[in-house]
Amino acid sequence: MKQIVCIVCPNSCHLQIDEKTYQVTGQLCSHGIAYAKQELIDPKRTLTSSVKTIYKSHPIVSVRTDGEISKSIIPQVLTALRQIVIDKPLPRGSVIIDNVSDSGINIITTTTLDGE
Amino acid sequence: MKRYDIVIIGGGPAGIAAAIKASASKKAILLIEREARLGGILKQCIHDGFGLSRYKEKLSGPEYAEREIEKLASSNIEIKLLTFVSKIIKTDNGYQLSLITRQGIEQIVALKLILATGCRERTGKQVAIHGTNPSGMLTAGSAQYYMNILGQMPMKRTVILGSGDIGLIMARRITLEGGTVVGVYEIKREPSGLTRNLIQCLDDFNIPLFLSKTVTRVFGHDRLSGVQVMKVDEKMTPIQGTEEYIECDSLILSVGLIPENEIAETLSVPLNQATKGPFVDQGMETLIDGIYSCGNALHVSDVADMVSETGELAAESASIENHGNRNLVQIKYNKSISYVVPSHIDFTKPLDKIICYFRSAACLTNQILKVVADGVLIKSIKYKQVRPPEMERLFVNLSNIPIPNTIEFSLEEVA
Amino acid sequence: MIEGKRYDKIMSEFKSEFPTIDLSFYDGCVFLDGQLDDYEQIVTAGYLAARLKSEGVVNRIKLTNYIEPKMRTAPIVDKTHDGQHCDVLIIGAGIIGCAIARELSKYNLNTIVVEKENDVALHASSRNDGVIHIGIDLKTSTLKHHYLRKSVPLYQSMCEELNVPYVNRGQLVLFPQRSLRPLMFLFNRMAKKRHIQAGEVWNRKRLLEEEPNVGEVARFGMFFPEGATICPYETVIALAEHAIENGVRFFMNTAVLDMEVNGGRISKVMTNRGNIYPRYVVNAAGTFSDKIAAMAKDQTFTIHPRKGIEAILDKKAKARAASRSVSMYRGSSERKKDHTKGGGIIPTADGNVLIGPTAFETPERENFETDSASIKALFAKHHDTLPHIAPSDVITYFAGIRAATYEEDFVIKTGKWTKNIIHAAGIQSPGLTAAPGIAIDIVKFIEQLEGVPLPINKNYQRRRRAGQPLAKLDDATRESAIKQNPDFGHIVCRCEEISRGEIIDALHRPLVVATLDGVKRRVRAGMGRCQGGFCGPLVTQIIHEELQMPYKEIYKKGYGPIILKATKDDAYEAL
Repeated sequence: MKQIVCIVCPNSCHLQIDEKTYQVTGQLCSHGIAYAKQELIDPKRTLTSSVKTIYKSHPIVSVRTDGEISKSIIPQVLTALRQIVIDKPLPRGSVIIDNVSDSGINIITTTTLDGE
Repeated sequence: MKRYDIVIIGGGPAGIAAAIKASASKKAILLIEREARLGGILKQCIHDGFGLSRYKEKLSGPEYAEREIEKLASSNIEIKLLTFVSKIIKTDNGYQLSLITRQGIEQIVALKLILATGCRERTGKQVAIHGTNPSGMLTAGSAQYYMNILGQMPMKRTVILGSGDIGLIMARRITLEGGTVVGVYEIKREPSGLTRNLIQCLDDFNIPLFLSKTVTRVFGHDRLSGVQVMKVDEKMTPIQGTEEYIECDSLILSVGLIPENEIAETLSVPLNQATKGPFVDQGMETLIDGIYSCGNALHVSDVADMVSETGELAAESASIENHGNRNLVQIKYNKSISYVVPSHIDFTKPLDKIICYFRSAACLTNQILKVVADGVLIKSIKYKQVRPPEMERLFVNLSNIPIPNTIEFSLEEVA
Repeated sequence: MIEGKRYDKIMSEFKSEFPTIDLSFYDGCVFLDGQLDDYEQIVTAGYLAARLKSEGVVNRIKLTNYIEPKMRTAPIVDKTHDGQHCDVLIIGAGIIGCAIARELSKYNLNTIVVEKENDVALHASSRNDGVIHIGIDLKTSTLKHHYLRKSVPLYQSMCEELNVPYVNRGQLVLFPQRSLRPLMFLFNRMAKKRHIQAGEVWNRKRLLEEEPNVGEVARFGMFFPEGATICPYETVIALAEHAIENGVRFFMNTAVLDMEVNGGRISKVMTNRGNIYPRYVVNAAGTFSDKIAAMAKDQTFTIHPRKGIEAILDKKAKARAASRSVSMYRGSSERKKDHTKGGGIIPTADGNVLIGPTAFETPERENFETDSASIKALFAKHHDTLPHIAPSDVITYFAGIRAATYEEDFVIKTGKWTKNIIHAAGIQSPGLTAAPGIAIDIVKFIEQLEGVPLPINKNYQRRRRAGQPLAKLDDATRESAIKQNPDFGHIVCRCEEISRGEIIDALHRPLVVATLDGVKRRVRAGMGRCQGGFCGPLVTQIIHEELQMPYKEIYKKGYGPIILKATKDDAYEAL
């Protein structure tokens, strides 16, 4: 039995999931069941970070995943982000890494870079 | 001297939301912001969790800010950036403001003011950290600016004091950028941040959380070389003999936010000691007619969505012409509640969909909140659990009752 | 030196209290040698020896198992200043060293100031309450009294020439017992003797009208209309800048490590940045002035450091404090216990409220660590004076160390054995007040040693080239400054209303100290209620852009970097 605290909403239900049967107890809604199962099989998170730019007035631009990615690929994603240097203006939401580590998730910018 | 119907001081999420709402009124509105860009503190909050209720999406701070700012673009209001309110005095025909800008000093007159001035961080000296005064001690917000705006890390190996959200967020950010967080130390017996942050920021990275402990001393002459932590008792006083030395090059302080109300105090707006913000009615109007308060200056919120909401409430209310004297009844609350916002109900303002926020005074389970006016039960809500760090929000309808003498919020254990 | 029965009494007291300590005499001075287990005892031995009233006590008693920490110096060793010759070398850039530098700049002399820290006034000169004392309690036979009297009439005009604030608010002494009332006439006699304007006696009713927050304990008060406050570090920075504008050179991060003395003259001064060859050396080295004297083979005094802690309260606490400096009268027996006037609650020149200082002996000459017990002690001590201020009003606190001699007086004199050294040492309160007068005398001593009048600097500019904080100017002046430079209209430190233009200016002044603290001391950015939380990173950014300094080389103070690396430097290591 694994103990998991659900983070989908502020209720923070304390869940128990059976590691063999994937039976979940303690949830107040179905989101909790899905969350607990995912946490057990392959925990996923959104990732927020930053990448360098060439602009002195805007030295870094913030980025995030546009969905959840497996925790196991976070180190690779961070390594990839370290290599990037943005050298042209980009609107908010621009994809800077497409389908990162084959996850189906993109890395997008979350600030508009006007290059001034 | 240019005259405005409403001047909004502060262009963070509260001020922006107020400006958008006020622009619908076709009055002369001015939004003043001291930085070069709007967005306030959101510009450096690159983590997500913003907009869950307002946009039904999980956005980062800058995205939330830009979306709000884009709504402003289509409005008619005037925005002054890089503008600092230096002096403000009450005159017979409103408020006269002295504005400092790169073009010089400008005097303007406002009939009404919406104060959206945000908050500042408590410092190490205010929590009695002694010893030397080295480089390497930063409040979480300052560290966040260095990391998220300048792309520089003021730490390699850090201790974080305070388990509030901003400290937890920084713990994760520092770790993801290759730094080491030795631990998060919290003086209270319970952690201060949102549960989802405790999991996503600490548990995910095996960063230990130590409760009932605080940092009492720092070492290192020019740059921090270590800190001393101590256990505290129920009164949060350090216990002699529990000193522990931790080697580190950085101490991040996440020890509380203090609403910024210098302008409110200059104008003699009465402040509520429980929130450190002004007393307000359901329209966010302070006890001084014509001055409104919203956002973190009113009370420190947990999420930007609620900050925007208070900005809208203030603007909505400020857009209405005043019809004479208000009829204010103060809201009382029991010991299980830390504070309720608004602090007063104005029975001359709309009463059907009053939005109330409250924080519990302690972590409690199986509670029932009752809103009672002159002995009549107006509303009751059950809560499985309430925690001080997680502010609650509810609607109250007081339109169907005669004007009461007392209004009371009480939080009690379900029988 | 005293003689006869009094001498015998002290000597026998000494022998019985300190049987293992060797007390010897040489050329008018008393030397103590040996070892003791307790530091307080070493200090007591020094005080006892001082009662012999010799030319000076040199206390060389060692403390068992104590290894004195090495003097802190900048981590630089090079030859930048190697081979420099000068007429006068001033060691130490505190208020004394800088006041002397400024005074010397009126003459056509090649003057160099060496300072081991990266900025002026980093020791006692910035760690005090900024009070310009009236000195009513000083014995008229002391140098403290002599130099205070000489300096007080000069102070206000000096501040005007330097363009720094001089706020005259007067001093209020509270008395806890009605029975002391008849003493007031004695106080006024003391005042008259010291050329101090007589104090007004205020009964309880008048006290409450003038200062409604004074405690119940204060039955009456005595108000002395003279007495002022200055901003100490601002004043020292101004003295240094004015000296530089008039030709003095300041070598920062330069510590005197040793000296070569031949035939009773200093011929070479060795520093971490090379050897300097001065004709005269002025010893203004604060808590290290006895060490400098020893290097010069001219030590006739010993510094026993005395630490004090002070707290600064939020400007909002002013309403619950007082508009004048206030202190509670302490009887002479109380004062003898810790050799201080007891401090008080002082409205600073910048508008804050300062409470302090404490006083305790310590062997450490530059340990500025604070502790919570001292803050508690401060409030306990001054509770009766102003009961409505509280520890929750505190926004910051700091420690300072007095360079006290066993004679508890200044050492202002030319060398006894070494002919080209002049000491301006042993400075403790009222050092800040006495600085202008001391500077004038030091220059006189140099002139006497020269034997001829010193050549005048015909290009001496009497007024320092400096601006006022813009937030304090009237609108018209401020507006025209902004029109000339829009950066003056861009507010960066919002707690103190300091503009980008002023911060950039601070990085281009005669003495550039491009650290956060250096900027802070020059323009106040970071001194407000948020203590640099908002503006700290902005000032760092300005230093980076304006001076093209890489982030890793921008320090908060001394050699303490703010930034350790860039965000994308290191990889995240999955746990």
